[in-house]
Amino acid sequence: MTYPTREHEDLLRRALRAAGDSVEPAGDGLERIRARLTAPRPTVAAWMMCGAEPAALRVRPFLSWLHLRIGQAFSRIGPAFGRIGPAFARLGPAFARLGLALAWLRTGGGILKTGPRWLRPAAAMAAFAVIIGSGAFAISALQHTITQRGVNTGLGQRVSKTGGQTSGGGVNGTGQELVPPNQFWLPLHTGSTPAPIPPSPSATASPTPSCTATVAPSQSPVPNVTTTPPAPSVTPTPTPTDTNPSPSISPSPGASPAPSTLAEAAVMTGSPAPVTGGTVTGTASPPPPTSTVPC
Amino acid sequence: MTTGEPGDAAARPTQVTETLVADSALGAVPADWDADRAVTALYSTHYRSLVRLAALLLRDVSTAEEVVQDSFVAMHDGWRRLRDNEKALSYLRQSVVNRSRSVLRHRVVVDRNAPKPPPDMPSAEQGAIAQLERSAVVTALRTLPARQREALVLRYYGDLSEAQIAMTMGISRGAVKSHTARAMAALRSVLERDV
Repeated sequence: MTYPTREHEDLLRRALRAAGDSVEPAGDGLERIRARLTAPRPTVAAWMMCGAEPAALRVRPFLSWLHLRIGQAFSRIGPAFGRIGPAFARLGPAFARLGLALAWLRTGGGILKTGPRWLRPAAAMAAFAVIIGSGAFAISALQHTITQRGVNTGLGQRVSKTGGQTSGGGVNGTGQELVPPNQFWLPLHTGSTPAPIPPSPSATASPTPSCTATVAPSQSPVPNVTTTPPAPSVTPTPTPTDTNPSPSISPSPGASPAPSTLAEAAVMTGSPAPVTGGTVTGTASPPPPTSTVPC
Repeated sequence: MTTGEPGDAAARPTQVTETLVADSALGAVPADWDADRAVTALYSTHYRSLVRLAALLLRDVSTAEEVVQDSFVAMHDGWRRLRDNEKALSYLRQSVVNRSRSVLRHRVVVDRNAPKPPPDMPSAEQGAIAQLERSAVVTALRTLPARQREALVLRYYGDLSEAQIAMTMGISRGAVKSHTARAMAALRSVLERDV
């Protein structure tokens, strides 16, 4: 390999310099750079215009379907979440204490900074375990609540399709209603199509003593909503009561199931349904000693 | 363009003020400067020399301007990530060289696949290019491989050291020596034949 001589180096240097000096860039280079720095990037804008819009148009039906599904699911599990709220409320102070402890360790305690090196991963692992444990507890509570609600709903008469009973309600183990709020879909007849019943302003939580109806012994094992809470087998028994059975109601369990709800009885008698805000009344008040149904 | 006389070598240190090495001290940007201020300062001192460097590599003035402007924009965007602001000029130079490589690579593919367009009326840029190509040295330079051409331009136009060339091209100093020696050997044959 030959080494370049000084002469060739100088010749090349002068040639390159002359060639370079003949190039004169435009004077608006800085303006161009600033314009490119301030203006939106054309590539990004083009991508947004060409790629994002058709994608959004394609995704929009899926998003609407997903929104509908999520709404339905949330309406189903909403009461369950309401029941596990106290559990989270119990975990709240624990988290607050944990946060305070971590803040103390981070600032005042100085253990994490001055302590051994394994203390920081250990604290992280402990926090992770606490979070996982609380999450597992919450999930188990949710599952338990849902399972309990499902069992009650399965036992309840309200989800019977053939009987035209309302769905979405149920009775838990204590005999309390699990009808979600703002649910006005109560059966008008024995058919499968429910009829909406607006909330009656005259409906109160207390049963009206002047108009009572005795529910006939139901054929279905579903508990009546007006039975006493501690009765696990909430099917009303035809115990003698001090109220007279109303002759206007004679539910026949053969052709159509017996109206087990207050609303059904009320609708069949033509009286306003004892529904307040979509919740079947008569359960919050002190239960009558009998299985009479106020209308 | 003239190739110059060999006896002008003594005037070189005073005539290379336009080149990159003469402005290397001005490439140091204070650390507390923001991106806009740094871009403005570096533009005023290095834009022309960087465009000329890119023009020597690309043989196209407008493309060279775009390449340098891209480099400035990239430096502005990555100003916070620039760990050493005093090496802003090195960053710009390396960006220019890398983008010039990309342009040349793309140009090779385009020239390979695209049909030859009919000759148009000569424009001002083409006149400048023709002036560039008038030089036998520059013409011979075009025949060299890209890496050898980069090494020669950075060495004899930018007056960079081997270490700076190695950093700019992303190769080792030994590779810089090898590219420079081979390129000079190839050019010598051309220049001795022409002169």
